[in-house]
Amino acid sequence: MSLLEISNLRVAYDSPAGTVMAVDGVDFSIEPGEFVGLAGESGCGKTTLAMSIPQLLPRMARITEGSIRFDGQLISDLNEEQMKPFRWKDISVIFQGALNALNPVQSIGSQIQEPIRVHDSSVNEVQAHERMCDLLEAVGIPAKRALDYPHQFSGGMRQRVMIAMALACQPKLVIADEPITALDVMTQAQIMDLLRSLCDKFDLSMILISHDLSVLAQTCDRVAVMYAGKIVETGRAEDVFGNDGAKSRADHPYTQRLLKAYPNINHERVFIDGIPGMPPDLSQPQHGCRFADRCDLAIARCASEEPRLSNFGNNHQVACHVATPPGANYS
Amino acid sequence: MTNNPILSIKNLKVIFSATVPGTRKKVDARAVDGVSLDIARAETVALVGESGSGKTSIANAVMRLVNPSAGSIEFEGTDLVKLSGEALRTMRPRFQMIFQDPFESLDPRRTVLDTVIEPLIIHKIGASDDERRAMAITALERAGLVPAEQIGARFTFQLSGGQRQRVAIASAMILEPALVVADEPVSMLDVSLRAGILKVMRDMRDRMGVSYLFITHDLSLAWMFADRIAVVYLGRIIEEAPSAELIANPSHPYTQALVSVIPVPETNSNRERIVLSGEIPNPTAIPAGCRFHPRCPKFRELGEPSQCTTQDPELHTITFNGEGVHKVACHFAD
Repeated sequence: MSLLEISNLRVAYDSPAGTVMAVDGVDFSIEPGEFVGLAGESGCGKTTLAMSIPQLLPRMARITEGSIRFDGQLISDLNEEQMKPFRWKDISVIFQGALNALNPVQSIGSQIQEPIRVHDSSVNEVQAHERMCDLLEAVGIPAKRALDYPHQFSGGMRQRVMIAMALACQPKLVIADEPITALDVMTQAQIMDLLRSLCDKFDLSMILISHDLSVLAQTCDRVAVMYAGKIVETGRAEDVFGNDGAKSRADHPYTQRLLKAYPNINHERVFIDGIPGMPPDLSQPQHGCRFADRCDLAIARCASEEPRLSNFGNNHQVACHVATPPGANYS
Repeated sequence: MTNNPILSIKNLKVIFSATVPGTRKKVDARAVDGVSLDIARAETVALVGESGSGKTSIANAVMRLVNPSAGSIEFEGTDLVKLSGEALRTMRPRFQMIFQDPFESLDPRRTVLDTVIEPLIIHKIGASDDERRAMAITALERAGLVPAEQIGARFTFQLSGGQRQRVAIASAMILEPALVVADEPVSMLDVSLRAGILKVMRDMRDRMGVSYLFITHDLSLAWMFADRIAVVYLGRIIEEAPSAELIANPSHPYTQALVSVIPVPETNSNRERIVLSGEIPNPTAIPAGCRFHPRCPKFRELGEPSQCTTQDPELHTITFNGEGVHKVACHFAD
């Protein structure tokens, strides 16, 4: 059974300019212990999708359709009170901009223990302290630094504290929202290695949100690429990012364009390509393929008919009228 | 390639005074600690390093936004370090800067056209308002902001991040500078917009022969955009080579580690990653000998030779070919 099962989810933001469908019909599931990457440009709905799971959406957002099941239980229609027991203990979040998320006047050890004290009544003070020390060691911080304050740590070390905090109540699912965006390359590599090893060690499921496909390619088991509120391609990392010679295996034109937007030092030194145009305005009803306006390969059908995710084999799914599954015979 | 450099930095030092946390003791933070670098006409040189490496301090010293503590910055034959006041101001149109954050660097209460015209007024360029206006329209068009008349009438707060950065480029380029210092010009932008901005910069170089000092933490972007890369660590250039050469044959252990962790959008890349532990030390406490030795995998591999802990390695040439010079500051470089 999947740990998390999202089906046909729609999330709308009510704004003065109208209703924006930020997530517009997404099916998505995660197996226990699976490390899944969620990619896409800013504004494509990846954070909205992920934050709808623990219901940590802004007030003007609401789930208008669809369901989210966690461990078999329907959690998308729980109210705030009913949702509370799930947060931290089952589902926890490493927030974007975590470098500023720590309390500057509380020692890091006490901050890591706080969710344990609040959400895990079975744990006494001594055990909570022990667990905090174990967590610090697990994220690579000497336990003797538990009494230090956030300003005594560098950005990378503070991010490690945030990770320890997210793991404090031994959750089954961790959502990491751009956890390495503000960090240096070497620190990024350290943090990604850490997340991957924690995932394996504690048998965690993880959703990693990133705009950087390269980071996802090297860490995740599976990736989902979002565009304008929909998942347009998903599959095992090697099926989406793997390489056959110099050609990437990505099948959706949007994923292909995103890949060409990054320099790749394993390939020829060529100038990167952007993606002309802008994502569509999601406060307007959408017709056809949402990427059609920016797509070189668009055909007449793309403007009128919305493509569905279709199977390309190996659980690799692509929503495109033009992309053809391997072995398909088109005349 | 750099026989006749447009910019020649020699032994540049920028030293800030810092307070030891918890005390009132003052110490020197050697942000830039002896940097020499040449840039030729129409050449793009990238300064690459982690945060705290001093790359932005080098850029700010070249722009004379901070005062160098020692060394010289010879630009078109004049030492910028010796200039001040009016003499420096008359040089300013020749060297311009593009900042990282286009949301902070533009005045939201001005129109795009006024923003781009302002440098012309300050430096008394152009005979009439009409002429300045025409120059601004051309500059906007060259920066890819079309239709320029229409976009020029907007306020900068009405523009997207990518458009704002193009306005910043247009107002830097309208003075036809010989050198532009670009500090992380695309790091705040969505990946789909980066190529557009960099292409505009490349086109301007081809058209006007401008040289770029390109500051970035992104080694793969530097490889793609710059002719030459200088890797900065703790206030020093520790390796310098033509871009393709540096990525293909990194010689300093620090560069080797940096190159090994460059993310590539592939899963089956068989590179061996060297993930350094720890972080860049504080510039108030630069390690003795080679400043990289406490984190250096090679230092440990070689059994901690005393040379590394006692002698500060010089940046020396290891190879020279038609493409240019490859220099490294390591006692045991490959």
